[in-house]
Parts: sequence; structure tokens; C-alpha cells
Amino acid sequence: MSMLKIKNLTKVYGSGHTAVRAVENVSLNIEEGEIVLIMGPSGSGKTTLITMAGALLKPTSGEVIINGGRVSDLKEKDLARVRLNKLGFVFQSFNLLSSLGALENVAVPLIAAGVRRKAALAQARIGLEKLGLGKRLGNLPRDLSGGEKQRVSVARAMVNNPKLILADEPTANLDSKTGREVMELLCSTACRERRTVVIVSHDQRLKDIAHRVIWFEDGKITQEEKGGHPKVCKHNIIKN
Amino acid sequence: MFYIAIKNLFQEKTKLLISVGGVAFSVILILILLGLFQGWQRQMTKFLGNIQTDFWVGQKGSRDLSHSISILPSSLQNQIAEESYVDQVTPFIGRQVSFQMDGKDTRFFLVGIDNKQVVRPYKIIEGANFPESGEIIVDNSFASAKKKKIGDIITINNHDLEISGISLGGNLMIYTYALVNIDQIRDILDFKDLTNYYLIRSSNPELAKTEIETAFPDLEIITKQTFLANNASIISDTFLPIIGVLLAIAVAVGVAVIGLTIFTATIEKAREYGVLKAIGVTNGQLYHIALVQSIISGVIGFILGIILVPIIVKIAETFASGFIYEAGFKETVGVLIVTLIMSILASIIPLKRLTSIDPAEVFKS
Repeated sequence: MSMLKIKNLTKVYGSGHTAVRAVENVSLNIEEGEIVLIMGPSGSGKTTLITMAGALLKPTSGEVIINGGRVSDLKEKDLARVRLNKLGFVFQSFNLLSSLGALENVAVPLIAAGVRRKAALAQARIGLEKLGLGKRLGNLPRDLSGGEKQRVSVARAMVNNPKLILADEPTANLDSKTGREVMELLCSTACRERRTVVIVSHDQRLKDIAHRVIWFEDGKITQEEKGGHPKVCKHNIIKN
Repeated sequence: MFYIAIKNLFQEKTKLLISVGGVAFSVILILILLGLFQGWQRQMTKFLGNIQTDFWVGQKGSRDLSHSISILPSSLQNQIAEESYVDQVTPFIGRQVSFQMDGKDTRFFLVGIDNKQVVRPYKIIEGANFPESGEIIVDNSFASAKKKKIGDIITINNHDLEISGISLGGNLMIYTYALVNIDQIRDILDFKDLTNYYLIRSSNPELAKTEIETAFPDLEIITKQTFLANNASIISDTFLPIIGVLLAIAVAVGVAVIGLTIFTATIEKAREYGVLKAIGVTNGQLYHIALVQSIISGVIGFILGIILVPIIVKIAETFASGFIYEAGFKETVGVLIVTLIMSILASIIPLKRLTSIDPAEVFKS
């Protein structure tokens, strides 16, 4: 079953002589439970692509279909609902709320969705414990290491049980060992829970944890190859 | 979203302090202005309200002691007393007098007290409650301000008057009541065959009023309540517009301080609000955060203001004799409502900024 379908997607910034085609006529289909790594040089348009896929940016033309629902034409209020219920985000700079502890940060999407605070915190605790942060629940972001912050970010991305997780350069601010550990944790958890993950990264080492690697350049898909996920993940359900 | 608002608010303690301080300042200003207005209004009628009369009879057109002068012949006293429903007629003589004291111009509203005590001091706190010939009762605010005590001599129109009593309730800000006996005031003001008003007592005031109106169409007959209201209106007519402007300024200061603090915090946390929007938090939920922060700042500021007001009033009273503050539960609740309105208005200031935050910005590192 298709989890993310992108049809003839184009994004043009500016107009006339200054128009920049960040993404040009891209089509892509990502299945449920698949882990896809999108790689490409800086300025290739991969962040623009993931931003549109995440219902955060309207395309100039084309369609984005998430879990069977077309999102490219929705109004902002409906897009917010899609992001809250169907998507999880992992950001390069973690983007945790500085005034909240780890547990409260993870609980935010649940509370935004109307879950009572006590129940939300209980569910957030389970998520953090799964990622090995059971003893850092009350710590503010400033008291967490980079790896811990990214694990909190992963827990937050998954707490609402989204079918699709979008990660933008998730290892860029981590050392190589920590980055790899965090991504293995994300992908094995996602794989076990049959979630789809789309990762945008420069990090070639992440090829091992993806089912599929898509090369992106000048706003277009230039190449596709198989990733090493089936070899490293014991939970793997998708065969290359 | 409530806990995000609380955590954000208390994370920035300096901003919270500025916001709370601004609201407290507004609350203090508003409550003190209301308290002074109320205090002055009540003060205007304290002494007059203590006079034992059903109505005042004065010269046609007279309405109070400040705006109009009523002068009537003494012979009228007996004529009015002949009316069947009139039980008692007492002359009231009172007028502003200026005199030199310790080399400075000083003013009193000098009033004559009759020995039946129809006109009497509001409350004596020291000394005699009836001034004999050559004596005077002064208000405590006058005695404190001029450092006068029992036994000191005040000279008015070449009459030496010894302070024999000190009273309360006679401070009208621009001057104070001072009381001498009725014969003394006739001498001082040279009012041998004249009086200002007649004070009428009757077992049936309505009939007595009608009787006097019929018999003396050239006199003004004013009920006690109307006379008190006329005197109190001097304060509302003079000060209400000024107090209104000051209250509006105080509210504007409160709105500006909370609004700008929350606005600044919103700008500083724009990225975090962007993250919330990217996660799926709606603009309405973000506004709820700003509203909660605004209301909490307002309520803390209100509490601080309410705690500080009595201290400020106490200090102010020692420096300014005209600082007559009377605010109770009703005024406090009123100020709380104004604070909540200020908070709601202030929360609208960052609204545009909140709605314009682009959630896609969070993908920019």
C-alpha cells in the first residue's frame, strides 16, 4: 500500500527572470513500512521536496498524497490536522521546546491532539523509555547531549503513532557514532511498528539503514538504488 | 497548551517581572485614582451629612456651599418657624475665610455651631466638642499640616481664637472646615442680622417643604440628600473627566506593557512556535498560549498591585493631607475585571506575528 505518493511535483520560487525551480516534475511512490533515503548536494531541492511532502509548503503544481489522502490542495487548518495525525518530523537541529523537559516535549503532539495531560505524559514516558531515555525524562534540552536531544525528537515524532516520519538531515548535528545509533534506533523502531520513514541527508553511511536510496540533483531524481536495510534490521518486512 | 504557556512564561523571569511590574503599576494607579475619587466624594459630605436637618432653606438659586452664596435675613427664622409642620429652624452660617497664619495665606471654611448641636463636628478626636466664645475647633488634617495643637491661637479678622478641639471629617482638600460658636461667627463675619441657610427639622418633612414653598416662593428648599449630592458633585464635575483620562492612560500602560512583553517573547520564540505549527498545532492553539501568558501576567500583576496599594496609601497619607483613599471590595473586583480586559487586549498584539510564522522555516537549520 502506498504511504506517500508524489505526482509531477514542481516548486518554483520567485517569478520571471528570477524564478528558481527548486523541484521539477518529480514523481515518487513510497510504500508503507519502507525506509527511503533521499540524498543529494546542498541546494539540490531535497529539503523543498520533504517540506512539500510534510504538508508544510504548497507546491506550484503536482500532487502530494499521504496514506490515500490528497493534501496539496488542503487549507492551512486541515494541513495542520494532517501533520498532527499522520506525520512525524525529525529535524536537523532537534527543535525541542527549550522551556519543557524531555517528557513534556514528547507529549506536545498528544496534548495538541486533545489528549489529557496525564495520559499524554504517560504515553510520552513509554516512548522515551523505548528509546533508552527513561532516566532523562525531566531534563531540559540544554541538559541533554546532542544524541539524547535527537532521540527525544524521534520519540516526539512517533508519539502520535504517525504512519509517515519525515527526517531532515537528522545526523548533521551529531558525531558519526551517535548519528548512526540514533538512526538505527529510529529505523528499527519504525520498521518494527511498520512505519514509513523518509530521510533527507548528506550522510552516505545512512544508506545501510534504508530500503531504497534516491539521488536528487537540480530538483530532479537522478538515480535510485537499493539500501542495506534488509541486511541490518531483524524486523525488516520489506524485501529489496 | 496551558503548560507550554506556563513554562514559557516562567522561563523568562526578567520578562515576566517587567510584565507583572507594568500591570502592578497600572493596578496601583487605577485603584488609587478610584479610591481617591471615592474618598473625596464621601469626604465632601461627611461633615454636612452629620448636620441634623431634613432640608436646607436658602436664597433662590443656591444649591451648595461652594458654587453659590446664599444670604438671608435673620428675621426669616421666626416666620418660617410659624409654619405648622416646621418643628425647628436653625440658622446655618458658614463661609470661606482667608487669614494670615505664620506669615502665610491660609483658608478655612468657617462654620458656626449652635448650642443645640444641630450643626456639630463630625468626630472629635481631641479636646472639646463645642467651642465656647474665643475658641475654635480645627480639622485634624489642618492641625497636622500646620503643626497646630490644642491651646494654640489662630487670628481671623482680628479675633484671637484658641484651638479647643480637633475633629475629623472636615478635610475638603482645598480647605478644611473650622468650627466656632454661632455668636462668634456673627462677630467674625459681621453677620449680625443675616444668615446663609436655615436648617429645618420636621416630623413631616414633605408637608413642611410644601408649606414653606407656598409661603416663601422666593426661597430655595433643598432636601438634605439633594444638598449632599450637590456638594459631592463638585468632585465628580471637576475631577471625573481628569480621572477618566488618567484611568485610560493607566489601562493603556497595562495593555502596552503586557502586550509588548508577550510580543517580544513571541518574536524570540518564533522558531519554537514554528516547530509547534509544523507538528500540527493550530493558530488558535498558539493564540491560546499567548492568551494564557497574558492573563497569568495580568493576574500576578493584579495581586502584586493589590498588596502594594495599602502600603503606598499609608505612605502617601503621611505626606499629603488631601490623600483621602476609600476603595473597597467593589472597586477591587472592578480593577480585576479591568486587568482581565487589559490582558485579553494585550494578547491580541502578538496575534498577527503568531499567524504569520511559517512552519516550513523549521527545516532551515
